[in-house]
Amino acid sequence: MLRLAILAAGRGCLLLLIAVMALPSAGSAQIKDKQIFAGTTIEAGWDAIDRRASMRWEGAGWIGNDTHKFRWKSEGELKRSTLEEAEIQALYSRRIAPFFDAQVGIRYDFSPRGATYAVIGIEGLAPQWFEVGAALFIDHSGNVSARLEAERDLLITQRLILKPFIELNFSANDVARRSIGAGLTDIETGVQLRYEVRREFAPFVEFRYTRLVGKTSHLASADGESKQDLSVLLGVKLAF
Amino acid sequence: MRICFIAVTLLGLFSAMAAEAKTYELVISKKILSTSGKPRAALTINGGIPGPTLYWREGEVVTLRVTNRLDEDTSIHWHGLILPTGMDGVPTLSFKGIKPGATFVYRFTVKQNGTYWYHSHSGLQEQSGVYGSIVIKPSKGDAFSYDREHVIVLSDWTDENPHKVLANLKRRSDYYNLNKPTLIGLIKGLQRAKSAAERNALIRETTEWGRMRMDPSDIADVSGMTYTYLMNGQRPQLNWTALFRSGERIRLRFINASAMTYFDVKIPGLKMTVVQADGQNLQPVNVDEFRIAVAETYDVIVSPKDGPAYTIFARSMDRSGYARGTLAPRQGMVAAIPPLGKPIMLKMSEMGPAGHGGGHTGATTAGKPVGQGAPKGGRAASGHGAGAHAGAPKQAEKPVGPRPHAGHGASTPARSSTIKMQPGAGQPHADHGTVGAQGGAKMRLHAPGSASQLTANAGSAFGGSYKKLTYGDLRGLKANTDRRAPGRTIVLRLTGNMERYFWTINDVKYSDAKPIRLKYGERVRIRFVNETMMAHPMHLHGMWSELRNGNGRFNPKKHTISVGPGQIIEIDVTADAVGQWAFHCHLLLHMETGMFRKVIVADVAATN
Repeated sequence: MLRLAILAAGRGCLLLLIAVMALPSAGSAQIKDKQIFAGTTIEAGWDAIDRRASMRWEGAGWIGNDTHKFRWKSEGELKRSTLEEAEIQALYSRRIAPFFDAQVGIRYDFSPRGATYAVIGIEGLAPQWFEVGAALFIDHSGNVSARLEAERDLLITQRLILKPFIELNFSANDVARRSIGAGLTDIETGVQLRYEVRREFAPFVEFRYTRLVGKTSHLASADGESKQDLSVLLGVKLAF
Repeated sequence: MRICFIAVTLLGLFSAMAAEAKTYELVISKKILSTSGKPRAALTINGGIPGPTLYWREGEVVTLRVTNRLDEDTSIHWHGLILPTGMDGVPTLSFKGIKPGATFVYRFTVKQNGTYWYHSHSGLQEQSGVYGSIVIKPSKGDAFSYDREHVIVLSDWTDENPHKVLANLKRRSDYYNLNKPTLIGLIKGLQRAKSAAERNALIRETTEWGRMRMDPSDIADVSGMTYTYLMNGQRPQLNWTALFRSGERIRLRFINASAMTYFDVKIPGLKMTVVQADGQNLQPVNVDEFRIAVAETYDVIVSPKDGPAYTIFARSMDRSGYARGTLAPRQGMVAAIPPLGKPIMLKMSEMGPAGHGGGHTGATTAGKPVGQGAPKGGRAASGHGAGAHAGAPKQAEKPVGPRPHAGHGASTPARSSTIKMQPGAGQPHADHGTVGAQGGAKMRLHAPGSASQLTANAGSAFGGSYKKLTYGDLRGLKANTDRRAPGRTIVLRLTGNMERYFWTINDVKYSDAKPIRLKYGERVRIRFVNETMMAHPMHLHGMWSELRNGNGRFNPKKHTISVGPGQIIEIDVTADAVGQWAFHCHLLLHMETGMFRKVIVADVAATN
């Protein structure tokens, strides 16, 4: 049943994308005030400490007009040509408030285990310029998990920007096959320092700390997996 | 036989003169020009930027054959001109536009005199160079004397495709802002502060802006990062020069033909006497500097001394660049170029009463009517359209009397508190954000850093302190003829969403909005309530906007009214032109993203 729902959500997204693409001529002939635009950002970082070719990426993009957008998001880690973790989300994003979008769509995890989820969430700009997001994920077995994210650009100079970030993941119940325990499962936090050579191109250095928490961390110990990870990444952020 | 021949020739000559019908050929075509120094495709009128200056005479009939050699539709609108709606040049409102390869013949009688301009009203063509100036000589003679005149067209040019500029802003609204507040700036400010109170005020100010998600450095959406500022189509290095002879009084006709830039104009060493605004005669005002909003014109008289050269300096309002020329007795002279000055940052206390959370307004909903209501009682003194008080840096602040409304939901400023704007009756709208803290009784209706100030700034050009022109200084030379009180007030909230970069009126985009309907002949008051923190130059086609700045019958007639951040400004309009007229913010990208309305003037009862 849920599998069908997820499939439907995926197809719906595709249909919406097509619909959104068909919007270009919306708006009166004289003033084309509902034009479609698109934007993409991609961050790629390489581990500076672990020299064994570990690479992390994070990307997001959108296409649409001021109210309706198709958004995609992806993040993942490649360790010595093995996909440690990789996920991609495809969402329909609709402006519901001056600073916030409501989102619905699907998420597919390539790794650690192939998994598909329905996504419902909200994303936007909170007071004091915090970019925040909250999402609920439901997989085909009905397991519910959630994610909270926040980050903020702090301008040191016009081009040198410090960005602290934090991501919290939760699970409503234990999911044995993913070694996840109920409650807060993990925290990712850190800070990125980027220099905007151009708006489109910014090299960065990033300090990233990941830690499994609670039951999830116990499960990891039992498996002999590490509970925490600190990495330093050097990379590049592209925006276009 | 010979006498016959002579007689016929003379007859022909006389009849040609009597007809007074001049025909002008204007061809719009793409051409590679090195406007910024780099060759780029530009859209030109008769091959140049700006297009040719059109010299007309009040009373004559002009015929303009405009030919489109582009591969997209085009149009020419005659900015500030009173003419039949079919000649106004706005596609879908006035006519169908000029198709590629076609020629449209404009023909109308010139019913006014002064300095005006013309430009494309199609897409973003105006940004690419489709603009030019109009000089109309009065039928009876000027109200002031001068010996020589020069037209000075100020504009902005980008080497980027204008659609790319808009796309950049849609992706990142602060794309072109390199003057943002920084951590280092904050630390320096705290170090410079002379007391703990001052330090606290600075921190409080920073957190207030952050709470509203507004950027005090957001003065201009597009800056010198991409713009080259032009004087008569020439970048500063080319040093456009205006010549004069010793002892002459020179008339300078300044036109702001830019897409997105307000200029602050001064001629170091020369006082300027402002004699016209938007082509209309004023009581002369002596100033050292004036701010010219997009689409405005100002005519000034200067009396340069023999010998030296003067720099005509027009710096962009956000201080990210300048246009420059030289006023000199000979070609090839150069005078010192003054410094740009530090970028302006808006202060919380300087936002007008209508200013609030960045003007980030609710989701658009279809067909919201334009708010209207009888002029509310208890408003500020009737003399002042918006009861302003002076705010020039050197002056002491003067509190005003009765506080003016924000038009639909009065904001009640109080120190350090924030109040949500209450939706007015019949105008529900989502999530307006909050009104910034205002300083107690010190109601300010303008930001000194903003485009317009309604009361005169007392510094005088001859008195030693620096005098900048304000809207409060503009007083018509002749009394306005329509003395009727307006029958109703139409409230237009200037709104928008800076984050996602779209701009609206009453939270509604043009394509979702109903037209504004006026009855032919009616006298109507329009109240602009600027809920955003940007200045918007509002332009009504086809009819004059009488700026209510406290001069009663001598309220100046203008075609473009700049409403500053948080400001409330009123105009009185006599709807004396039948037809469909555009009414929009003249910041090109604001207009293009939705800050536009159709005004229909018809000989029927107005139904709004």
